Amino acid sequence: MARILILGGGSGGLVVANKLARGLRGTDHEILLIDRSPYHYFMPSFPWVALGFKEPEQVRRPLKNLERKGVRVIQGEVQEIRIPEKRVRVNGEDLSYDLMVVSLGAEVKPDLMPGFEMAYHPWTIDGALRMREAIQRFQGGRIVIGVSGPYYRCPPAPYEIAGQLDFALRARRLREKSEIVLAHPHPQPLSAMGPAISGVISEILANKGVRFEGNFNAKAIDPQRRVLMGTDGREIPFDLLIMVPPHRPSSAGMCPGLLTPAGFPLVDPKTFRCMADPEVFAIGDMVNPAINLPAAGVVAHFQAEFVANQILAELKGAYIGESFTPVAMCIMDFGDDAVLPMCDFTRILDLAGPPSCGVLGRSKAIRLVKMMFESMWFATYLS
Amino acid sequence: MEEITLQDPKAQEALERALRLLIRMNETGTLTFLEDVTELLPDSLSYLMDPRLLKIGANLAYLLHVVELLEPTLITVMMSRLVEELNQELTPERMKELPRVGPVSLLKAMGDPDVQRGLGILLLFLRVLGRAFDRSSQELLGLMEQTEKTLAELRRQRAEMERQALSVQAS
Repeated sequence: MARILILGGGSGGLVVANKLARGLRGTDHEILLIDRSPYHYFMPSFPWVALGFKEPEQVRRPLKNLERKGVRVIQGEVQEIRIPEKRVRVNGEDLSYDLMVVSLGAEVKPDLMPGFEMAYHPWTIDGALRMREAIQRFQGGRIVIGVSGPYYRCPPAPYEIAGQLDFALRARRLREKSEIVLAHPHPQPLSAMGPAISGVISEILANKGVRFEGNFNAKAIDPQRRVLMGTDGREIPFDLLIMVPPHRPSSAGMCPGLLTPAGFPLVDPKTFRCMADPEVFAIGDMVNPAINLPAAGVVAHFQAEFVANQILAELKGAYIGESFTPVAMCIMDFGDDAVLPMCDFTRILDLAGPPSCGVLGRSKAIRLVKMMFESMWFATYLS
Repeated sequence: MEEITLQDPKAQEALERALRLLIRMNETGTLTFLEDVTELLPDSLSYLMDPRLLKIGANLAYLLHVVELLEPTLITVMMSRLVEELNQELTPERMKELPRVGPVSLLKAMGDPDVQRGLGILLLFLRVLGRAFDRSSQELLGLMEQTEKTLAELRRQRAEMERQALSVQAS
């Protein structure tokens, strides 16, 4: 009998738990999932919560629902991962494991940016609710959407927020009294995804009158003067600041010495097995930027399927599950317009060329696909 | 919404129909098939996310977008006149004896105002084609240069990480 620990109940952890529960049905292997929250949140909907389109209860489900499938769920804080001893400290107690999947995601660290208390953001559910209140109070002026650094969850989100704000302000007849500025480290909107996607997003922002301030690396926020300051000396005054908070990988003190200088666990980019121990897998936002994949739930999802396949093959002796598909898709909802971009990261994973990206569709009807996907996600993995 | 009880005749009728349907589905095996499909549902997404299929989808979507950019009035008027003219010119009689054009008749045809207009359109199209290809090749060369720089930096970072991992494993 093997004990498999899954650290994190986000996209990656949830998919691994489901795949293993199905694949190991009827066996005596033990599957444990640990998360600090009692809920799994569908994070792509957080901007909808901030813009009043969804309520928090609609974008979350209890992780305890996994217990019906045979997964034990422990609510607790992962304090330490001791790979050489095959132990994890949770809520002050040690848990042993035979195989482990670490999918702890990225943590938001607002304190790392001076003056961040002036800013709002939808990168957490509480943050989304505070941002909603700030938008409700807003009566016109300049809204600045800033980005604290290149590493953050869901790279297209700031663009979506800009588009959704334009739509919301038009509905409240405040758009003519307002200006929306998007300040980003990239030279062009989503330029890392190539000209096909960048061109469409630039066109949408231009149509919506959103000013794009490129190559802007934010350094700090001056609360007294209400300005966002860039490393190159540029300053952007604001009346309302929405800011992607600084993110850091949630490595939970994992295996000192086997992290990159930026704190990402070192993994084999072909198998996602840790360099420290091949019986430990690390997936999702806590590793992906270090292997040139984006910090996005969809990538964690496909990694999770592949990792579950490897675990099932190991435990059952033979198993043909999913291979890893290095693609990402994201439904970008701009309120009255929506885009479905996709990128194939096969070449960049091998460092052989840029990602191959295109647009699968552009229509406001695509918002419906996002809503249906959210519903399917909960029904499939947490019903 | 009004409260519904099992004693309600409407509820009984609906339930009876649903039960009959379920029995029929069970007898025909449809219910078993649906059970299997629900097992497949969580896997379907990853099979559909084949990069080849996605690229075909993205290219088709772009071609459809080009069609979307065309103005229906313009296209309808232009295409209908083109079809009319083709129908007038390409008659069965004409097809039996297709005109043969040599250097002399080509020069003669150049005097025809319709041929002159057609040539003008072709030349205009050639000019647009040349200009567009020139711009796109410049843009692509710039992108390739930028990509090479980025990849070189990423290769350097990965080599550094691998070196670090090896030294930790050795110790």
